[in-house]
Amino acid sequence: MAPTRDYTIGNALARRDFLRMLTMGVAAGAVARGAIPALAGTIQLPFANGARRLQAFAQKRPLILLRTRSPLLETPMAVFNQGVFTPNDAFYVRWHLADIPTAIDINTYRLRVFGHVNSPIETDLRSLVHDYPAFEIAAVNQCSGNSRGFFNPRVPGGEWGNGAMGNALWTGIRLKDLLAKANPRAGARFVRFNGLDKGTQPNTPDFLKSLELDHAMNGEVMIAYGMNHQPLPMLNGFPLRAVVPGWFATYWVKSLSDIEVLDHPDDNFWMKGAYLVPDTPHFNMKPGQAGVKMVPISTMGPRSFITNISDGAALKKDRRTNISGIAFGGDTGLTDVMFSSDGGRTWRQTRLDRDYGKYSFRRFQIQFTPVQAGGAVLMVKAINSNGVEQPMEPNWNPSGYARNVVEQIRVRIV
Amino acid sequence: MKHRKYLYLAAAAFAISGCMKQTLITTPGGIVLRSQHISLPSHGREFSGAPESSVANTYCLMCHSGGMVLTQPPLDLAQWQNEVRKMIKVYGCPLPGSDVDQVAQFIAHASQNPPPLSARAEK
Repeated sequence: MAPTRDYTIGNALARRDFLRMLTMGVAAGAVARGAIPALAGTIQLPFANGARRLQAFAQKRPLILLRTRSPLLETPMAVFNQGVFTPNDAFYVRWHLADIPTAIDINTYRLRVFGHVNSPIETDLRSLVHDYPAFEIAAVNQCSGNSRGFFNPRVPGGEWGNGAMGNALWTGIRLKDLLAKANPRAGARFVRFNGLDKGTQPNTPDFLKSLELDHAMNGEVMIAYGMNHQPLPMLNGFPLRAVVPGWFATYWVKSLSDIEVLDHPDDNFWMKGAYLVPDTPHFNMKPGQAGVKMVPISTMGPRSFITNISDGAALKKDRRTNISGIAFGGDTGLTDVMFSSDGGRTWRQTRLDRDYGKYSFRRFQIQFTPVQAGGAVLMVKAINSNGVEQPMEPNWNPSGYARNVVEQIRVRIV
Repeated sequence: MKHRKYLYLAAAAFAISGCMKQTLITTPGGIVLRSQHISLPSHGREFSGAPESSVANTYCLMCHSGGMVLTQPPLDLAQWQNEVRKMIKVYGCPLPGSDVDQVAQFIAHASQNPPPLSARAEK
């Protein structure tokens, strides 16, 4: 496997108090070792056709460019070594339809709640912000297709490395409070989100995503106007986006403008024809396997990544090295991150840093002293509070969704 | 004359400050929302070479830039035909059905022979 070439990222966070909070979660001295400097402005993801440019978009530092229109921008892994929260200007970007909002007037922006409700709502931003209690939660936003480029055999789609994810502190209002005011009618079953993005062709299906009403009312699903104590960047859904903690990002509709309460399951293309996974453990199936029941993607599983050492790095024999990284539990809290330096035969428990809540990234640390020269395979494995752990074997499905295999880093001990 | 100029300036300043008041929303937690406007980079006709590049530029780039194609893994012709048909059937691409095969063949080649990154500059 070719080494991951990483890009060194500068720090740029505005609010000092938040920065202080961020740094408390970061292990002191987590210095990237062995990161191979890339050619200026380019990066090689470790799979076929993985050459990428780094491109700065509005409100974004240079990110890994997958597609210009509509933007697909990936966060370089080095960013995840710098803290438990992902800075807004480094947060990955994923849009579906070509016509995305580029200008928002906060005086005229409206959010509507309608459909199977007794009291439809049309609210402006000022009222939304002030009329409902503020709510805050730290949560990982991860694209369903994060890490698709590692699927074997490869599948078509957005060919991401591992950086189509990010962790933020989301501030906004609970969807529950808004829906309660709209007062769903008897028989209400689903809640459908629509944002301002549109296709260019008359027949392009509008991007709509739905949750069951009970889920939408669980007090965690929210509408965010703040991301890491700042407004959302336009490319991450300014001024409002849905936040669905523990669920893949496809449900976190950006530039949210419409919430429709349905009395029937949503059969729109983006629920019934796309974002489907096999209804099997780890969403796994065999290429070409027939007769597999497919269901809409939903919750995330646990994942973990060593972030201070890159694939191909050299570590000194007999010298104690700090290994650190990020992990998350998926749809529930993280219980443990285990570390192996012998290819997964034996595991040691790492130390978990500050807990920002069960849906957040959490940093882990472990001391490792290599005793034998030569090649070594380092692994970390996250285990969540439901007892679910990352599988040792990668999953496969035709759309390249929900990868969460135990990751490997090959190092040389010298 | 000079007086009038100051009057205009004062009026303008007053109008702007009035505007500013309306265009800020401060949330209970102190996040300040302002109207936003961004510009996005453009992309050109990104496919070149074979005569089919013109069809690909016309139809594929209606809905997405070339990066979507040029970053794909090696896919066989049947997979590309499948992708192109999906663009027509699912996403409403107006490519004539009779052009599916030639477009699929062209992008099967183009995607595995992308121009160098330096030539993929986006403005």
